[in-house]
Amino acid sequence: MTAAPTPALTFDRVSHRYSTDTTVLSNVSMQINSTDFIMVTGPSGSGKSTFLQLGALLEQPSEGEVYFQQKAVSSLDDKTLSQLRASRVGIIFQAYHLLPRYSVFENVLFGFRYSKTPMDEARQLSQEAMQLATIDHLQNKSAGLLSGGEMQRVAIARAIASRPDVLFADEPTGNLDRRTTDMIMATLATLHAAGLTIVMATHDDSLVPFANRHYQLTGHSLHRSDRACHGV
Amino acid sequence: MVFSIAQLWRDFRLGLRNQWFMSAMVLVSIATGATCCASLVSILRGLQVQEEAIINSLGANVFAVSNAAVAKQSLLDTATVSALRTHLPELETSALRFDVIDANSTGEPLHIVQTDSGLASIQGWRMQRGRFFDPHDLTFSTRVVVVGSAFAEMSGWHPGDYLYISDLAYRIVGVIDSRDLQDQPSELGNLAFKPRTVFMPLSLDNHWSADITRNPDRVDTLIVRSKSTRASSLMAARVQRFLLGGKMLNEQLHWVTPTTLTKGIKKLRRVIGITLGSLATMLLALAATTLTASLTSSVRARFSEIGLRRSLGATRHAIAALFVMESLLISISGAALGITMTLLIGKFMTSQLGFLVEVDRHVVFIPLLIYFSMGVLASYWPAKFAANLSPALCLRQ
Repeated sequence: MTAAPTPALTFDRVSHRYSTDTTVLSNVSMQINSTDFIMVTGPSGSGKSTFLQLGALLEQPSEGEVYFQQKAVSSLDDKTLSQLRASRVGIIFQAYHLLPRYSVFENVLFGFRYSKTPMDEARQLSQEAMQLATIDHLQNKSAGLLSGGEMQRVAIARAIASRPDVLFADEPTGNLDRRTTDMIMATLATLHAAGLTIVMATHDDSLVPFANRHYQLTGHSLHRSDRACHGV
Repeated sequence: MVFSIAQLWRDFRLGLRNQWFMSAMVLVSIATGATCCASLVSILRGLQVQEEAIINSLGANVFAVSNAAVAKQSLLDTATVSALRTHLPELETSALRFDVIDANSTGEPLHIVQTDSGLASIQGWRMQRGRFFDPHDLTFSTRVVVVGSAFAEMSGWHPGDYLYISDLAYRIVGVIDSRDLQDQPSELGNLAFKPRTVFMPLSLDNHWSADITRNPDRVDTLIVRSKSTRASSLMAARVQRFLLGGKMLNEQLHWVTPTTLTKGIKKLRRVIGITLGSLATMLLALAATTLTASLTSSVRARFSEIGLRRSLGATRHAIAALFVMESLLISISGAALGITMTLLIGKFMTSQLGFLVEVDRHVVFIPLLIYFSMGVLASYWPAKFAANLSPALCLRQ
């Protein structure tokens, strides 16, 4: 008998709107377990990024409650939320959000800027993360001089360097060619196999098989999809 | 990663790279304002030091009263001074009579000051050699003189030597340290003793004067020092009451007190304080607005970075601190630049132009404190704006 997976993230009747007449998410309920690789697909503007931002503790829902590792997010203060983001959450952005004048290594190390990890340990973890993302040979190169695929791998290394519990990836392959996309997905699959919970948003349906569960966002509502998910 | 100065410096550099031109302009603006502010402090401090020097030159708790220029005859005389000494024994007084005669050989005038034994102690003069007059000299009208050390050195005189005035020999009994006599401010009038001055007893006949109509008992100036620590203005009022009770009119007397001496310098301080102070305030306001505008622009240009920092665990306070620190570094650097400029200008003005400016710790700390406060205030709104930004919104930019 195997132990039941622990809930990493729970959405309980979550709705979100940016103004009174712009609803982005409506009545979303779901549970993400620590062993999950969740894929959320949907057309542009369907609320995928907002869904990830709510899960990554960057935004509070207008209605309902988000539970991060069984803690109600609305009950947490700014300091606690920031500590959780620094130590438990990793985020990969479609736009990378790298510091272009910093080197690759400095960008990865920047992931520890607000964590309490000692400097020596942060350097060691950054090196390991760069090896995992296969960018250790680029570590002294300025981030502004990298290709799109390389930049995304730097962003992945930065997101995973602090060993988060949950990794949120917002269209991580949105700007990349097929070959680079496959490389990125292979890296994410390896991380998931190593025990990382991954929640990924994409409009590319061909990536669904990498996940073990698939959800579709249509009409601001989240629906479980029956498409075959192999997991890793 | 724990907080470190190096990390803080890297954060600051990251901000500067985005807005280096704007930051440079702000730095110049702050440096200009700080120069004006530091100059104001240094000039006002210089005038304050000058004021203190003038008051000290008169002596602590000392004031003087003379016959006014409008008075047709000398209203002060030895009898009045004696009466005053009897009436107000708590005061130490010294009567002075001034004369100027042409010297025989050099052609330069010789200043004669006839006085009594109290002058040296009231003025706090140090005797380099010999002694000042004693009551015996005054009682017996001995022909003795005291000169300044510079005059004695120039003329090759020593105590025991004789000098001749209108063919009469006077024995030099003492030499005053000239450092006590020189650099006397012009505000002191007759009391700013010239280098070629000889002091002799008040009781001597002024045989060198051809004017026989002059009252031989006249006193030109009376110097008064309170033996107690009571303010000289109170003592002056008592002396004034005594003299006016003797039917003198106040207009016939000229009072030299610390207040009258420093009247001009106080006025100058007020004028400079208002003009330069207004300019410094305007430049401060300009620097503050420029800094606020630059920081606001920096916040807008760094939405993505702010979003990234928040996603990596920065609290609202950490984001606010980023902009407050940036503001403080710029304002303190600008102030330091301005203070350095002031120190250089002050040095030049003092050495080349003889303009008295005081460069002390006030010149450094007052502008630093003002511009530190300005840096905090100027960053308040941009820092608050940045701290309250939604990280999700920033990351969408």
